[in-house]
Amino acid sequence: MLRRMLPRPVRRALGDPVTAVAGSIVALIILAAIAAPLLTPYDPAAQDPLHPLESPSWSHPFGTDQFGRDILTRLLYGARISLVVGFGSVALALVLGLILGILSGYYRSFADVMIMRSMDVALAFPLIIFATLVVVVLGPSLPTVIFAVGISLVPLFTRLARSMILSLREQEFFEAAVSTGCTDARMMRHHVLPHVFPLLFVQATTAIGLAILSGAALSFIGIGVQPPAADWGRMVSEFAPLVFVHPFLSFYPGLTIAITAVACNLLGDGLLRAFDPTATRVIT
Amino acid sequence: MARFIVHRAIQMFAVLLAVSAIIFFALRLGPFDPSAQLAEATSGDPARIAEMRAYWGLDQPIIVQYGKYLAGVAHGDLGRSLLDQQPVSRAIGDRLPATIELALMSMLLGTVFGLGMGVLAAYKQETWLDVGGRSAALVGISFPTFWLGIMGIAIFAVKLQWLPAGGRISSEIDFQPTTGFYVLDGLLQRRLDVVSDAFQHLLLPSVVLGLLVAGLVTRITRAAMLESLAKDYVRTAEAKGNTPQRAAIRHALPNALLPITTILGLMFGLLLSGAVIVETVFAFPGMGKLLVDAISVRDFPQVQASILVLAAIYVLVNAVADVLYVVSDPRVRLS
Repeated sequence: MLRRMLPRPVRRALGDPVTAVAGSIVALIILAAIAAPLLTPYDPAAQDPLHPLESPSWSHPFGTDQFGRDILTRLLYGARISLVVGFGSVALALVLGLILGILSGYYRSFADVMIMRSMDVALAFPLIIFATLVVVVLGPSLPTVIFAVGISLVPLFTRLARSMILSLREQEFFEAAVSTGCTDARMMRHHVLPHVFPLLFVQATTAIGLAILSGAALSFIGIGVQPPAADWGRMVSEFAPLVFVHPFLSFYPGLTIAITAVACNLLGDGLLRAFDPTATRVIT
Repeated sequence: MARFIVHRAIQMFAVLLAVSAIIFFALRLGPFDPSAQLAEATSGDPARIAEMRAYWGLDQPIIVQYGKYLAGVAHGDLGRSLLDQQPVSRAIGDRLPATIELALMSMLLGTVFGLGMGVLAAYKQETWLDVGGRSAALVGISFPTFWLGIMGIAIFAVKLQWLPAGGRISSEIDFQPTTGFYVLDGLLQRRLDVVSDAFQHLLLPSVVLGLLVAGLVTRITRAAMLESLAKDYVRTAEAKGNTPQRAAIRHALPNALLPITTILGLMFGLLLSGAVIVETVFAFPGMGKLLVDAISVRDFPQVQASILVLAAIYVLVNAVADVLYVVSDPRVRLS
């Protein structure tokens, strides 16, 4: 039943066992993020000074952190932040990249030169360093992290959208549509977006893992989501100074990020392969 | 060819100019605005603020400030740290060799492993070697670098005590760096203790950072090798009596190497981004650690200069990679 509702390439992708498993893991993480309050009796920020750094037990399956907060609870709530950062920033990059790509590839002329030169400048910064600059300017918070990671991905999407539109322009149907006097709006709706959006969207899914990792990295160096929010990258950095006493405390939050990123990357790769077997991953 | 290089160099300077402008103006919009910080530091005393603004040159129009800043940068003057009034270029001069050492070592480890795994995975396509290579690549690009670093410390420094947990050299070692590249300095000064100690400090961070590079290189190499192995000239080489191994190494690999040079720039971006994180994990005194520390104490000129230098290295490497690409491929060179 549920399968029928999915678009055909997605169904084809899920026919591949690896992609299906990756998809299920991503679905489970989304479910955990939504249902976090139902899955755990604790508050992710509630400190319990009497029970810091407890070993795993029935009441605290992954133990507690240095403030007595339940680690499992914080991992469940942390899924919310990671997913919002991953999906939010990629959605932002997709929309902005598509708009800039259309301005650049469809309208050409002056806008093309201006946009592509600014993309060159943006790409002159390594990704995390660009995101760092944005966060430093705007101040650390969840919306800023989403914005920073999203903005650093925009040049990749703009280039992709532009090159797709440029190759569309070479096709006969495009020329035919222009010569029959299609307005720009009609060109967009019927001849550009239907060709560009699906592949751009699938390419975007491969970027979600990278976006989650980047957001976690910003949190780790202390300029991401601020405490007491339960954030996976932040948890690893809070446990880092304890490495000599409790070496494996950061194991769970780090592993959670790793599993999420692996699942997102495999799902993205699977979707891309099913959608267009000749397409290669643009965002790494 | 010469025209291409000149053209690329001009383009590089234009990008660098734009980069410096972005950093300069963006930082003055945020909480790092030096005027705002001065008001805080002088607890709002107007006379002190005016005096300080004049001292730091903040009483001039912002365009003039930018012009003066650029003139300074052209002379190697990147400003003075707000903390100790020392030129920030001195701190950068101390830290840059550490980052370059780390980046080169990671790149070496990453490309050797990545090329090896990529070639093997493509040659033995759809065997356990291929699956293993692809999984390892996935781990490299999907596991958070900072977590791998901490797990590395937990296992090799805390539990097994094989390697140091951080820093660049043990404090017991009495040593005056000459070039700032500690392993090289140790060799130059014929100090084996320095070489081995610096190398031990370098090993864990560069393996962690190298994994990231290896992941990327494996993926690209495997794809390029698969494409290259399917070409007619490989079949011809085999038909002429070459063993399949020889055909793969002598005929397919050289042609597969070309796409790898195109990701050289991308790889260096990963290395610099990763260095910020790895240096933070291992308290490794390089550019990335300098940047993160400067952000946490809001040392505005240091943040500005660190980002500028990191971006400039990246721009420079990309320009060199472009030139190398054109030099190495006659098809691109002639078109």
